[in-house]
Amino acid sequence: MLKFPGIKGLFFDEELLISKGVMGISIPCSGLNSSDLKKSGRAYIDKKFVRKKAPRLPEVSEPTVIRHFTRLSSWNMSVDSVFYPLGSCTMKYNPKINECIASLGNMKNLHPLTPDFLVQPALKIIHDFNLILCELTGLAEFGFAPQAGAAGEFSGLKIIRKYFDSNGESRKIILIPDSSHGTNPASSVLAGFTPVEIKTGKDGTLNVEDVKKYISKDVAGIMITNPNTFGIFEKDIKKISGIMHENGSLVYMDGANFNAFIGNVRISDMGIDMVQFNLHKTFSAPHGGGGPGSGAIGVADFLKKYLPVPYVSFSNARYKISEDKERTIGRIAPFLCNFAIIVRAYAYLLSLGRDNISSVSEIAILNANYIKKKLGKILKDSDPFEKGLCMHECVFNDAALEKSDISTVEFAKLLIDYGFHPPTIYFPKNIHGAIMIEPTETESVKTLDGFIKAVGAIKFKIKKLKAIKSPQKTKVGRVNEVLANKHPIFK
Amino acid sequence: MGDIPLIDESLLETLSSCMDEKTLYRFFSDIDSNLPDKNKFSIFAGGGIYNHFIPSAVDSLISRSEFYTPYTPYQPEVSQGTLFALFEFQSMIAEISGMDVVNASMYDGAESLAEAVLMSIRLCKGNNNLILISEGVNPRFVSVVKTFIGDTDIKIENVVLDDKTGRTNIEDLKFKLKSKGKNGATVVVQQPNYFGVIEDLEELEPVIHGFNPRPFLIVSSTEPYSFGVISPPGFYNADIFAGEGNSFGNYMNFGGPLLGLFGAKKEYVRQMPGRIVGKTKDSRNKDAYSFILSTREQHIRRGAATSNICTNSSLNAVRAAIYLSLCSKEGFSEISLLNLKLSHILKEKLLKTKLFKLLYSGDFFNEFSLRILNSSVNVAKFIKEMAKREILAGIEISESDILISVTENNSLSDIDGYIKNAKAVLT
Amino acid sequence: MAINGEFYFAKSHEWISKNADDKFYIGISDFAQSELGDVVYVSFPEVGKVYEKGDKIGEIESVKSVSEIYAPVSLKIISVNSKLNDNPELINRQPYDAGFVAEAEVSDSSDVDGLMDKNAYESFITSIHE
Repeated sequence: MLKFPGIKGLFFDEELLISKGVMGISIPCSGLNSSDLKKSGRAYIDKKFVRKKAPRLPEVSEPTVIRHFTRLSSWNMSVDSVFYPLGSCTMKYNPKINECIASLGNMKNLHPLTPDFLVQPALKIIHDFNLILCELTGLAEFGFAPQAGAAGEFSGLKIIRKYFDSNGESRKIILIPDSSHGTNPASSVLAGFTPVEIKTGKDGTLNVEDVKKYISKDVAGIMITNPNTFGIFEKDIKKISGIMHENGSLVYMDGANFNAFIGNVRISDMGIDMVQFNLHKTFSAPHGGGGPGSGAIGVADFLKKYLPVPYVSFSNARYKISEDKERTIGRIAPFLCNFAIIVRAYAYLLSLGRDNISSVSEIAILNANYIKKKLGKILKDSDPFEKGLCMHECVFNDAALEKSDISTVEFAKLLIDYGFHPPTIYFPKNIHGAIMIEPTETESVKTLDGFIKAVGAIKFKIKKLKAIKSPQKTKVGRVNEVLANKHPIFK
Repeated sequence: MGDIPLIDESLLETLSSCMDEKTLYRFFSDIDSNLPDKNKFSIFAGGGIYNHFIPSAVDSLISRSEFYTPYTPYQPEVSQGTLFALFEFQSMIAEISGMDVVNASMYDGAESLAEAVLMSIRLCKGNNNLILISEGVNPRFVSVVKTFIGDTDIKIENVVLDDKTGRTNIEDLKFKLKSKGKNGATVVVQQPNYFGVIEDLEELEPVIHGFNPRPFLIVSSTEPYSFGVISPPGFYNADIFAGEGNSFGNYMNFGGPLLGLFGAKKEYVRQMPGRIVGKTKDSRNKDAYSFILSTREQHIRRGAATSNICTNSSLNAVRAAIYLSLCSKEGFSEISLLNLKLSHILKEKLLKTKLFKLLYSGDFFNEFSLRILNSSVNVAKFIKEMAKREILAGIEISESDILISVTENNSLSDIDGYIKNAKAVLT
Repeated sequence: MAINGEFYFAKSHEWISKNADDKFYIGISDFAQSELGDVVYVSFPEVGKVYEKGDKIGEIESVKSVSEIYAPVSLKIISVNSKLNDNPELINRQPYDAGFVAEAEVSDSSDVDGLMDKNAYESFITSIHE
């Protein structure tokens, strides 16, 4: 008999930090003499600039700060404490060795404007990581300026724009399937395009004939998430790429779901011109409670000259931070890249090596299909794509839950009491009451079985009254988001 | 996967075969030991990122995987730790910057600034045709702004600096603002500016806001630590504050990830980008926190969202909240003041060598610009020679001019080391 | 207050009602508010502005969705229901009364006749539900 991990824990209350006359930092000894130490700001700058009222920060000792944030941390669910099948977010386990490596003292204290000759080993990391990504994707070069996935999308779309500008064309439309992440249309608008939605076919993939209907000389490109947000591989992607290329349009792939085929198929073999990766997803950098991450924008050879600057170049046995891209879209970030995230991603690839890299996607797919089949039996008639296999994640609608009089959000909150982080809910938008589950490759069958069992318990045993009141085992009860939005308190 | 061929593993050449944990650690620690030694190298470079001291307690707390392994708090009931910490972050940054509302972070200062400019354009409802950017704004930030709005019909123009003081030239600003006519406009200045000089916002603000229709004033900053000593943007009626918060408890990490700060007046909150945490109640009527005003964001409003940002710099923001709590009210002001004092001491000592002259007369915080008087040594060479002596002497701003920054991490003996070596290099 | 005229509906779920004092009130239907959930914010049309039929005149937000308000007929906005600023829940509680969105002038009141009456709207809702 499986036990659920969701038992009632010991929670400590915590107030906002407010007290008086203490501090928790040991200020470095500067060696200043006592007369300098006594001077106020006015001794150095015009008094008109001097701040008259010091900012009201907390006044607390080091132990108080430690206890405060330690208690806070205990109110979070995290990948390290629970199964976290948040669809489309790839919440896989983040190996600890990567954290040790990223906190090596000289790397983390490196100023980004240190002269190149002193930072050759750091530049080599970026350079070599790029080569590996090129090999795994079949693309020609990756740029690492984008700070996250959405910034990668924006960079890619700017490249599309610059490409047409250079060819003397001004195409305005980017085709985007209706199941896409919200960042896709938002990034398109930011790059000056008009996103046009394409309806997904009944089998959950883009239909070649449907795509053809949208083709015109004003179409600059298509932005396809593959596998798409239903967790289904776009089987006609090569044909669609062909149609786009025939029309002179470019093909952009949102690579947020690269976890599903890393090491098994190459992106270039699908006819893709450019892709963005989210290094915090596929490449295991921890998600940080919302960030930071790192993006990467990869392109085919003919688009290399448009990549953002600066970048790492290599010639005469020297690595250099260069800005000489012929038609660059410009600067996306103030410095070179989110180096500390790239280090983690690089370490992740090295630890797997060429011998194990393909098993990442194989086990991710296996785990997702295990969930799909087993849950499909509990959530009857709720799998909109029951017939086929899924890739790294699967999606259910709320048909079966509705029969038990439980809404998707109640289902999510109930799962919490069983000790699981809820899946992504109400996305993709075109699945009614969507439940999107991405187990990832780092979970054991035992964990998956526990989750499946919890879903069964919710489906068959829970009464409406309990559903409304859930979760009950958390630090706080159901959070009143209506109140939060009606009368916002910002600080 | 249809007709897509499978990768032949034997064709993977660049990726080595798998490394065991010990080998992997060794691989990276070898790399690390070939980089400048953090214990020996003294850093006097700023230019948008500053070498501040980080107490061990910050690393200890942030290494709790309850903080670093969850994702965005979509389910507030199981994310109160992150939400609470972000709420404290917002409150503390609002207090330091003097702004009404601060969000839960952007990627970095440059992206924050670009988003601030976009927000000001939205607030003008199609009537904005002019973005005036002071030449005192970090040039890297300006490039990012240009990437963001370069393809629109909105004009970006520079406002020159006063030759003598290094502050934004108010006459040039007035002249250029007049050209906007009946349209809206946005003015961007940086505090302290790229050359280290403190802008006179008391003088600039009424001039900018005096035009009709009222232009938006965006104040950027790469060193918000200055607001422990100087008055922050919010005290001068700035409409938007967009800065880099890396100075608060975050490592330089060779340039990233960083921490974008974003604040605005309350009345503009619905046009703000990024996530915002609000305080509310739970079903048991106890205090609780959740994201608010999410309808602004891409996952709901898609193409009509205020920004495309999704992943942000949450963990860096939590680091900042931990760091600022440790600093406390007194420590923050004291460290800020220490930066001011040490930088002025280095400046005095450098001028005394007669090898440099001050580029601008305007007051500064922890960063200043000098001209090297020995014309046979250009800045690049000076920096290179100093680096060989384990001193990162500053940042090249032109062939003859260098930007130097001093923080509490540079002691008096580091300063004396700088002087001694600069003399050796330049004479 | 009491809006006591006949209600006419657009397919986009707005209603318009002419009252004794010749004023037209506009709002969103009970069905629309129930689909949206708890309303937390209303973004109003511009007072004094003339809108064509079908123009977007405002937005109603719940916690996790946004719904646009379209002009059911061509109209000019005279005033908005500022009570909704502090009490947006009035839209949920009294969509046909205190939860109205704005007052308007309608130049051609025959436009209103082209809309659905209460019965027609009810069968319209049933039809989209099937």
